[in-house]
Amino acid sequence: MLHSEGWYSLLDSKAIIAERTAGPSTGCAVDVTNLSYTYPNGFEALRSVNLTIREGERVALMGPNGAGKSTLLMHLNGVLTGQGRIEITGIPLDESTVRQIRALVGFVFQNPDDQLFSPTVFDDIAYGPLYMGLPKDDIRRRVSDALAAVDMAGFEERMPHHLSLGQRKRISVATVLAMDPRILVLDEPSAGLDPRARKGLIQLLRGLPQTLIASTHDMRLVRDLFDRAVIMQDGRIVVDASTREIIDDEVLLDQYGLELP
Amino acid sequence: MTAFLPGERFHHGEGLLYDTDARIKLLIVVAFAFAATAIPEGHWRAFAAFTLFVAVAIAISRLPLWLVLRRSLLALPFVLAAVPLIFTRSGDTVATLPVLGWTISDSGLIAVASILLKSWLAVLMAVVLTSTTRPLDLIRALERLHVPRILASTVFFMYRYLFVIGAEGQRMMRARESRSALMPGVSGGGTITWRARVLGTMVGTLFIHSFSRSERIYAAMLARGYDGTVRFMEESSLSRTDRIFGAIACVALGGLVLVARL
Repeated sequence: MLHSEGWYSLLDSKAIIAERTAGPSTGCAVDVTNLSYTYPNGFEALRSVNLTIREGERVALMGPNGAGKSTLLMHLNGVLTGQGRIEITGIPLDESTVRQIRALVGFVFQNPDDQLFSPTVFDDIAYGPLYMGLPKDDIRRRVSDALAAVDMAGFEERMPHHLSLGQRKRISVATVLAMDPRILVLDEPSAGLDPRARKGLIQLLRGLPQTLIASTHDMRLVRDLFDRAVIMQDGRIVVDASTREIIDDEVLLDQYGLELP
Repeated sequence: MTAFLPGERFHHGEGLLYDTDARIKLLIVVAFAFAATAIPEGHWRAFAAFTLFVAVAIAISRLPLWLVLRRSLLALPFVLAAVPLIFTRSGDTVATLPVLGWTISDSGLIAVASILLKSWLAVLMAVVLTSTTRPLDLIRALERLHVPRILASTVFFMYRYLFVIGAEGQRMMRARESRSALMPGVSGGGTITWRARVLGTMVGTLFIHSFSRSERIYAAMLARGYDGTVRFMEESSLSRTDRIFGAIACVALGGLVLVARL
């Protein structure tokens, strides 16, 4: 597994902080109850969504464009706030806990160009830890560990816009790994990647210990990485089953416009 | 955070001003602005006449008054530049600032009030224009009035991509927000200078993205035969009502200039 030892040792050294950040261990990573959200333009993106994800689970969120996948994901770290209740590792998400929850939920956006806004790779990965007010040595270690975890060691001084899409994607993952999250949220992680970059990303994600939640149209990614698949349509969850069951059900795949891997 | 996206200035409605050709409206507003700058300082009768003209324009636009007034606040920052005149103009002293000892002159006050009124009246007219005219109609009006092509195209592309770049900026802010985390008991958030530097590099990054986007767009335009002009389908000519409306406005503007000169 890709340098995952480095990653685990980082977890050990940060055990105290992790304990302080996370809530009581309930075994439940994400608990969403009756979540609804309407965009300012009147578009109802989420209609009473209920979703529970256990710690360590890997869940794929599927469904057509506009089904509400990204909107749901952006609620998990409080970037959007709708009506309903959200608990992250047992901590209710509200105004007072949102900053703490952002340390628990690492969000990797679809387009690395939106995520990477700093002049160098180092600055970008250091942003989260710097904001958290961590000591300098700790930040430097986190940056190099996170880079090692995504197999991009030595890229500290490179400029993000000089890297390939696959590399920028890895750096995007590193920017959130450096914050030591318990849950990784990824919006269409494999979109636009060439086969090799895609394969590498799957391998990288497979080696991470975090709970994974990703929206995707990529059925092969779903098959290779996720144990559970949730299908959304018109702002509702319409199917929630094991990946195996869904992939074997051709009628269901056809009904929701999904392809066989 | 949605406030980051630039909003439309056009206010949906109907009436004479909505139906009038954008060229006529644009010319009237520009002529009004020039005429207003020519009002001599402290010529209150002329100011009253110009204000009446604006009031009539707002009335026939059927725009909500509060909307026009709120949008006209846009003029405020420019007015600040005129404020030092209160102290620098020579004239009879009206008051003295307690600590600094600067004197406020009567002619200074009149000068500042005049500048403030002039710019505010012109901005009010511009607000009425942009609220009753669809942005694309306004840009086409620029083209048909033979405003230099480069200016018209710049405005056109700015309007087309303002929302695209705005949305990109919003996504970047969301991504930053997502990584702005704090741990209980640890003070964080970074220093002001660090945050300012991050924001600065974000703006720079947005600029680099926009720049490379513009090159892709230009290549795509060339691929479809772009030769320097953006072409539009219909070429509407001025209607009878447009002409009559334009003529009345011309006479009224002429009257205003006369009042200002007397």
